[in-house]
Amino acid sequence: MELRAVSVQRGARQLLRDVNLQVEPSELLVLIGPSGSGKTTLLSLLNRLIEPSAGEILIDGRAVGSVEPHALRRNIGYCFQGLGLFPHLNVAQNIAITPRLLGWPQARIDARVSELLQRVGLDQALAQRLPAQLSGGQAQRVAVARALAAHPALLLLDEPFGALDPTTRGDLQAELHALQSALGTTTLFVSHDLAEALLLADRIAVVVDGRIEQHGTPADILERPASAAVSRLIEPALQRARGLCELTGHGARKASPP
Amino acid sequence: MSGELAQLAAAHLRLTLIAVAAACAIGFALGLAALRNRSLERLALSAASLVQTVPALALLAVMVPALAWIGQHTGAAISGIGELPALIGLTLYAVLPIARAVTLGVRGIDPAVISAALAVGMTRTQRLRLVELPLAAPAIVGGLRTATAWTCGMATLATPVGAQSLGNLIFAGLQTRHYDRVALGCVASAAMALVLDVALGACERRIRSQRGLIALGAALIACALGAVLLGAQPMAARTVRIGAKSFTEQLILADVLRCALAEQARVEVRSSLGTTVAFDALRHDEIDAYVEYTGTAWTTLLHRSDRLERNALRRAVETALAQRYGVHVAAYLGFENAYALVVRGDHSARTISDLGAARNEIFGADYEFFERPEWRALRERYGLSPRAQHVMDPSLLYTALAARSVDVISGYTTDGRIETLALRMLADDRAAIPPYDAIVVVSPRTWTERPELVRQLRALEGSIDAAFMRRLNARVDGGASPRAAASEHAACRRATRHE
Repeated sequence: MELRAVSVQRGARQLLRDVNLQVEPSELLVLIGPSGSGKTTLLSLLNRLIEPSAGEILIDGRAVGSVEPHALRRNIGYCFQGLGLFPHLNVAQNIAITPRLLGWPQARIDARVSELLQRVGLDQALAQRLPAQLSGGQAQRVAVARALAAHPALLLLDEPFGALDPTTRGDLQAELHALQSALGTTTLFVSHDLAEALLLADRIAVVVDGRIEQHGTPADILERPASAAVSRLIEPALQRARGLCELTGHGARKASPP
Repeated sequence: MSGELAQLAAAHLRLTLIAVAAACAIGFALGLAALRNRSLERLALSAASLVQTVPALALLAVMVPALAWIGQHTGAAISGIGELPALIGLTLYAVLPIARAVTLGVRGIDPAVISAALAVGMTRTQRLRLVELPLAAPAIVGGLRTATAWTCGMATLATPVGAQSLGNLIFAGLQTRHYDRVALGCVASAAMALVLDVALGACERRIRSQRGLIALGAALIACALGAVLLGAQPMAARTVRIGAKSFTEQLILADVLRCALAEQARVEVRSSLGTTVAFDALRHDEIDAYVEYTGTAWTTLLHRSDRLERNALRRAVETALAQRYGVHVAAYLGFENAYALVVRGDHSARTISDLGAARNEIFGADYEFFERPEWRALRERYGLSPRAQHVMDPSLLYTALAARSVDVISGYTTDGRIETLALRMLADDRAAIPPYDAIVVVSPRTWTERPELVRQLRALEGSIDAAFMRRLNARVDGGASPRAAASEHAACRRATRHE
């Protein structure tokens, strides 16, 4: 998957400028940056929810513009903070939607729904519930399952855990990591939480003001920030981490006698 | 009575269902089109709102000349009166709430759900079918309920454009002061609206599934088709249609005409038509005959203002109607029903001249009078300049005069209430008002193709004098039905014997 010299212009605003980015197969790339920096725009280019004003976007060597949007999207899983579960369809029907659009036979759909419920850690009994009857964490898992349903070649996740409490969020992060490793689906993950990015990512792309400021492994980003902007972005997270370390260190000294 | 109620209720239901189904189809298409195009949305919704601001009765009434014009210019066999104008008017009215419900219902869906529908790979049609319509369904059914309730209420206004509905009870009841019939018409149409609303309300609760929406659509189409077939049956045999304007005498005379033709054909009366509606319908062969008055024909229909003596006017009207419209006079009934200025018995004036300029008098008149050439002529010849002019329903004029709410009214010389309420007609000493011989006018096609009907109508020549007419009018004012009053006429007595 590759972006070549992509720009997005909306009126007078330049949302993305001359972005070049390459994602390797099976890689989990986290896009991180301050809000409004263009992360979501970049993600939306891949399933053509937004069209570029300039440049080229390739998936498996094919330009996304050459594929009908709906056909393209059926091969790309997408999950975002708003979730957008269909309120009139139950859990099983929500998960089954893309396979249904692809015309899978019902038996295959049923088997896939049941398999996915298990994979995302949901009880089979929830299959008949409507979205309104789910907890936040359950709804989030359903959204991930829906994104994975049709064996997509690419998974796009836009702050999928943003609205969850920290415990559920931690659980889901760990499960997502495991799931992604097991499935080997190429994944783009948008986050504004550096800790989340560092824990999940194979590589991280830092987006600031419509540009890719740095693209590298978590270690690269932490140890060799490419610019002041990147440093500013990672500094608060590092401070917090140092604070936590001191606190645990201090606690240890007190517990053991001199 | 109950047979009549059932028949009118069926006609009313038929109008309502067909109009709502048609409005559904149009409103749906319009609403969906508006969703794709913002400027179309503004255009369509403001056009539909504009229609809503037109008073319902006027909207239905303008369909009559509009359709007649279309029929004339396209050569199509379009009926300008009857169900078609009513249906078009009702449909136009019901389109807005449905179109708006579709547009607002879909626009009101959570944007996240729409994004999700795109992202899972739905085409535009799939998005509409699988997501937007099911989620907008409650709003759409809500709009449908509004439209149905309005249409059912407004269908009573189909009567003046010549379609049968529960409005027949209301309009005729108001004219003849049979308020029990007015109440019956109102209650029946309200009850029908209520039943339809409850039925749709039941649908609304179980509509969220896609299957439910399809079922509702199918049910609606089935209803409309059923209604169309229901009404189509009696239309197969060509019935004779008699027109009647909206006052007591016309209802009685329509019944006399019905009696005269009852042996030859199935007869239907279209009542509560205005003068021009009735005449337009006649010259386009949509009704077969009705009773007109020479003075009205001369001034209102032929737009003439010159004053002719009674017999000269008869000849002039006869020739002009035949030459210009192919409409023929089959019979002179034998009485005149002229407009007359009427005052209370205790008023000092004996002639219109005695009123002077009438600066202290309040005038009351029916819907047409102040717009008619007769009123212009009266003002010119007598210099009338009343203190105020009130327009009201003809059925209320006489009581308003007796109750001193007005001082002078436009009355009819054959009206029974002039005597009953001790009122006085003022003599037209300067001859401003033309003679008004009652004539039976026949449509062009009936005149040439149904000579046997024309013969029956000719037999009515001279069969009603002014005193007889006043007596029949007085009977209806006293509580009898127009049909009962008409039964005094020889034609009806004969018809009864045959039955």
